[in-house]
Parts: sequence; C-alpha cells; structure tokens
Amino acid sequence: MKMSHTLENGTMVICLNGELDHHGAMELIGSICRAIESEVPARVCLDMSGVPFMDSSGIAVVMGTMRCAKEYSAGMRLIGVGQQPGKVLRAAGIERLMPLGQEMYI
Amino acid sequence: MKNEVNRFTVRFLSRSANEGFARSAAAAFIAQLDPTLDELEDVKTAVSEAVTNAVVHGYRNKIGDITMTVKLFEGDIIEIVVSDKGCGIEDVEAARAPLFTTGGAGRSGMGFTIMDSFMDELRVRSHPGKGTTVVMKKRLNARRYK
Repeated sequence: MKMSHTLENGTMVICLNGELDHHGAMELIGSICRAIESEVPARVCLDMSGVPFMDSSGIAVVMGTMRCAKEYSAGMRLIGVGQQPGKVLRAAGIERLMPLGQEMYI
Repeated sequence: MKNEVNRFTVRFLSRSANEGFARSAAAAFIAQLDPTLDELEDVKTAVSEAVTNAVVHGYRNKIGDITMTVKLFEGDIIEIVVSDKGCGIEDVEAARAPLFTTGGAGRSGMGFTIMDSFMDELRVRSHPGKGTTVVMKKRLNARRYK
C-alpha cells in the first residue's frame, strides 16, 4: 500500500495505491493523520481509485481519516471507490453516514 | 454433505504480510471452479478477515501457526477453515456483533460481519487459551444462470 498527497487551494488529495488490509492499515492511518496535521487543509479528499481490494481494515482507514479531518475542522470527501471496496463499505453500513457511489461525501 | 472433490491445506506464521498471501492462495485454488469475479472477491475478502483475526486477536503480540484448508465439494460448494492456536475468544457471540473489537485503532470491528455477509455460512469454534477455528461455506452458483 502506497500513499501520496497533494495540496491545492486548501484541498488535500490523498491517493491510496494497492491492496488495503491490516498489514498496511495502521501505518497508513498514522501517515494520513500526520499529513493532515502538518498541512491543516480546509478539505480532505481520499482518492481510492488505486485500491482494487480492501478488507474491513479499509473501513478503519476511512473512519480514521474522517476523525482526523474532523479534528482540524476539515470537510472530507471520498472518491474513486471501486466495486469490491464499495461492497465492503456497504456491508459495514457506511451508507448510513453518506451516499455510496463513485463519489462519497462525509 | 456432498462429496469432497479437492482440498489443499497451508500453514503459515501469523505475520500480517501473510494476509495477502492467504487470500491469493485461496482464490487461486478455487479458480478451478470458474467462479465469477464477484465470487472470487467475496472469498478473498472473507479469507482476509479470518486470517487477520488470527493474526491480530488470536496471537496478539506473539507469532504462531495459522492453518488454512480450502475444500471443494460437488455442486460447486467451497469450505474454508482457518484455525489458530492462540488465545481464543471468551464470548464468541459478543465477538461476532458488529463494531466489537479488541484490536485498537487499525481495526473496525466488522470482520465477522463481513465474513457473515460475504459467505453463505459462518461457524466459529473457540476455546479460551486453546485457539479459534472459523469455518466458512459458499456455493458458487452465479455462473449457472449466465
């Protein structure tokens, strides 16, 4: 799992790349939170178009990113959710928090 | 129970790097039944959850053996058994409830919920101090209706 981020006009786009499971999740949540803490963006956009597979560890990453963004009063947006990750997020009931499609808003 | 037609067993250490190996190995083995991509992804997801539970909760801060057996039965039925000899689960019913976790910030508590919803059948046997065995079954039938 690789992560990169860019910041433009107050929007931090965090791109995830690779399969997302417990093996990389803990370190990933830490990296995402450190990036948000150092840049303090107005909006965070988590781009999952490079994630072909995730298990429930991915739910923890999404929720962890959301918590971290909220700490800094940043809005969060989830984009590029593929079919399998979308199914996992739906099974976890994430649609109670947001509509689930190619673009999700929290 | 229908007749078993094929089976493989693999044993590996409870290192998190093996989560990806286990789900890929299970998917490669059931590919002989010509599953749909959706079915393959369902199985990979469920295996990933079961193995991660053994790594994170079964063995916690130590390393031990995880055994995974994948069985293929007549009628395109697959059974996957993931077992560990870790600390076991005190209350299986509570552990199966959504959002239950003892695994900290990197875990969502949705592992059993995902296994339950992605497979047709889920059984969990556990003895505190002796380990946990998860048995999951699924009938691969989508291709019959193509």
